[in-house]
Amino acid sequence: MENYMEAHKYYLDSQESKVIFSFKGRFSQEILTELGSMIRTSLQAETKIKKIFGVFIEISQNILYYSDEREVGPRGDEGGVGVVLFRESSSDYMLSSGNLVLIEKIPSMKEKIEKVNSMNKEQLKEYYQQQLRKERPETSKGAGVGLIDIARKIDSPLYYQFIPVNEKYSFYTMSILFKKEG
Amino acid sequence: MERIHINKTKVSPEVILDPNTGYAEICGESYPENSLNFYRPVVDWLKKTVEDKREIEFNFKLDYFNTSSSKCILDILGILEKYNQEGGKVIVNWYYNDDDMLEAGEDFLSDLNLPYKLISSQ
Repeated sequence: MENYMEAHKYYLDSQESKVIFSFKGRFSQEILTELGSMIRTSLQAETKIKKIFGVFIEISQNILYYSDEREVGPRGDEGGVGVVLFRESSSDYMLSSGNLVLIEKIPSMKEKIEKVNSMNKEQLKEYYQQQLRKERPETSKGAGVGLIDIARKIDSPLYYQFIPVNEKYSFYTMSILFKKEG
Repeated sequence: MERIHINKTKVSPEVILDPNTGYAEICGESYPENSLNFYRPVVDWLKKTVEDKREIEFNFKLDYFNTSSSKCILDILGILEKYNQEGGKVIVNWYYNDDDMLEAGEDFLSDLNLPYKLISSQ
């Protein structure tokens, strides 16, 4: 019986806000494109739309490239598994992402995020340019500057947490808030 | 070398590369899954065009690009800067349609030893 209650639970859990979308599974370029289109359609009148879209792309590509839970799709393409949630309330928008990471990666990730959180916009700009000029991180499709880019686009710190899962993995989650204007 | 024309997709820009006139244009949005692969033809074209000592006019008309594309743009500008320093004729035109893209253009170009123009496309 409990399974039938899923929709009701979901409805009750999201009373305070509207869920524009939530996705859990293997990320791919197609998923990114579809969800990205949903952001554009539902936020047409929003002045921060470009920043929100940009942050969404970076957090989703982070899952696609770096999640330590990997899955191979029907066409043999491999991608990271994770969750992205996009919510809207009367005062703000919130993007949350989550995925498994190997425990041994946590210290260096924490250090990166804390460093970015401690910087002002001018410092972030400089740090971004400096990091971009470094060699690409090995085995990475990205430029290794996603977090800096996100921090440059938002007005609040990056809220994050590592939640223990088992002896090998933790669940890495990050939330990004965009205040509505006016 | 033939003229290269890559059509725009939802995640990647239109690319025009003309080896005879040295004209290059990248136009649209850029967040392909693998930007290194996507921009490889541009880098190859540049190397060849530099080798042929042609004049290069490089036009960026981007509306949005992700960080991974950003790295590739920097690579392209690096090749152009080097060519310019070696006496090659280069002009970079950076078209922008909002403050974000203007700032991005300034961030990329202001430190480079390269003739460039920032042009509002509004």
